[in-house]
Amino acid sequence: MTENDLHQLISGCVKQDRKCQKLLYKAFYGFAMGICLRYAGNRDEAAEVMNQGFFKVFTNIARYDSDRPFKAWLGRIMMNASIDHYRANLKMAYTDDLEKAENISDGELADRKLNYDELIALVQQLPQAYRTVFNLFAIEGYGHDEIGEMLGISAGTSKSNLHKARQKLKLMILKAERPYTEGRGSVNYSSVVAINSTDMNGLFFNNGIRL
Amino acid sequence: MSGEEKNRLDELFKRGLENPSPDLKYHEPDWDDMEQLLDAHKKPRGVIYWLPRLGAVAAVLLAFLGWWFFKPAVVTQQQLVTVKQHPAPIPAIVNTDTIEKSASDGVIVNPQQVKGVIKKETVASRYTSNTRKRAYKTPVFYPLKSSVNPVEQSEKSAAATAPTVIASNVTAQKQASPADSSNNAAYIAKNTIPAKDIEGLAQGLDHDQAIIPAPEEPVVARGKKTGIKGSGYKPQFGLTVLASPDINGVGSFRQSQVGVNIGLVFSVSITPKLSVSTGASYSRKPYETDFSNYHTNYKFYTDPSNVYADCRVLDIPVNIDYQLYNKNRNSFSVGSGLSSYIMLKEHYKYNYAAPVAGPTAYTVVNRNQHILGVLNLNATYQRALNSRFSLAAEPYVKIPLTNIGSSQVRLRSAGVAVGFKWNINQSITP
Repeated sequence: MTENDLHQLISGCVKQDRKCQKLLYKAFYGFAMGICLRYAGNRDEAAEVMNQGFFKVFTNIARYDSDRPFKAWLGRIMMNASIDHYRANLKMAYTDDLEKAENISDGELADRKLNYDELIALVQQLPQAYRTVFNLFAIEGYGHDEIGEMLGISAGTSKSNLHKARQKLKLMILKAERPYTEGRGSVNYSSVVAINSTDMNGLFFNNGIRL
Repeated sequence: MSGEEKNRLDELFKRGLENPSPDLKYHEPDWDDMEQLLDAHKKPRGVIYWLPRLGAVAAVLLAFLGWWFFKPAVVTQQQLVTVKQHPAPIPAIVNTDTIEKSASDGVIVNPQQVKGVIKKETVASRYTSNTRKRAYKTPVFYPLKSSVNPVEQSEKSAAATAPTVIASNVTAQKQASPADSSNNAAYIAKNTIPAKDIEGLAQGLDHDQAIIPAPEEPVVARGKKTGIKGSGYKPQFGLTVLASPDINGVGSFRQSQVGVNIGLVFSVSITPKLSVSTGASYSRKPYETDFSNYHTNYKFYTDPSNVYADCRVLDIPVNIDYQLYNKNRNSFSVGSGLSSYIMLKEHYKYNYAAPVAGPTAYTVVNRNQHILGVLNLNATYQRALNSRFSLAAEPYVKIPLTNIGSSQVRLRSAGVAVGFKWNINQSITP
């Protein structure tokens, strides 16, 4: 899509033209979904959050400053929609038995080759509080003070949640790695993101027997 | 976990998740959900949606009809002449004496014959509606139109509908042409029977009594009216500065909070009693409500016990006021109309029963507008300080016809506004 096409689409959306709205939605679907999937527990939840984000986009598009990149603006709205969702559905982070992760030696976390679907599946298995902080810190690049402000938590809680997120991810990677390393390349994986979390447990925690 | 490893883990995810999977293809059902979401905020909500709009139309219609009915009748000389030349056939019932008098002066009507016409009306009533239509178009019937009361005609299916009847009863008389008809009317107008006489006579009449055309009363009456009315009513313009404590509550005033309301209202009196007003007022509308009344786009994990809201609203009312009393310096009027709420800023604060790490506040700026979505009811007491300035006290209630704000609550307001009015063109005091 050229810059000109994009501006035409945006102009149509300002006039609440449904066709333009659909074209814009289709054009940025993958990008927006990619952000929301990282923050959500599964694809359905991500789609719901993404639609909330697009709703904000369509209702506030008149305020978009055309001198700035649209993708960044949209990405920011998707991130904010995800944070809103987090705030509305905040669960108390359950204290998992993460001590086991502490005992894993550094050497075991080798340079893994995990694809997008596998990584997103891992992130989605994190409790929401950990997942949100991990996303904001590790992927978006915010500091703990900013994250604390965004989520209404202290910087200390943000640090703690990030630490726990990492521990949990490390544990999951190491557990999931064995079956992958044993049979890599021989099986054509289905899209992991489309499978719900119960199925994911089957995939990653099946004692080495791949389904 | 070492710093290097931390970065390695973060890098692993950052690199891997930066480029979404090609599997994230567009999914049509997601757009269907999106459309539903968009439509939900756009679709009319049945009666609730139409009520304010219909109310607005009704208000405009009322204002127009008010102006139309009460506007001064400007009758020019030209119009009067026209009326004389083509008198409207406004007949009246008179007694036999009158008819005889008319007959003696050469007027076509003979009491016996007219009576005969009426007596034959039962025959006439047997004619079909088609016959009637034709009869009305028959030129022979034309003079009779001016000699039979149309009301009587319609009530009793008068004999006039039958051309044969007319022929047997009226043609014996001097055949009246349209010109004759106007002459007759002119004659009768000249020999006007006083209205009170007509009334008195009419009371003593039976239906089978004779009917002849009435004098052209409107000619005389209009002439008088024109003389009395003179220049007609001139609209009065007023500008009022209002301020009031504003009591707000959702559904009822049980958990009411007091805000403030400051505004400017421009009014035009379209008749001595009826006036239309509009303006703008800035309101701070705080309120407190149970969370059950509050609407959110998504479900909260833990529902707050209640919500405290602080809304800044621009209120644009369009009202009609009717003056019930006006004596000495005091006047009293009642009014109604519709208000549009432009929600400038909405700030919501959530209160939880127990300490929960949920959202604490939510702010929306310039997102919601409710065009003609609030019904205004008010009463105004006004005391004139002098011909130009007056003081006003106005108790009011504002009832929402639609849900207000992002929270979509039924936000009611009430208060007593105190105002200072400047009567802009008070030189012509009614």
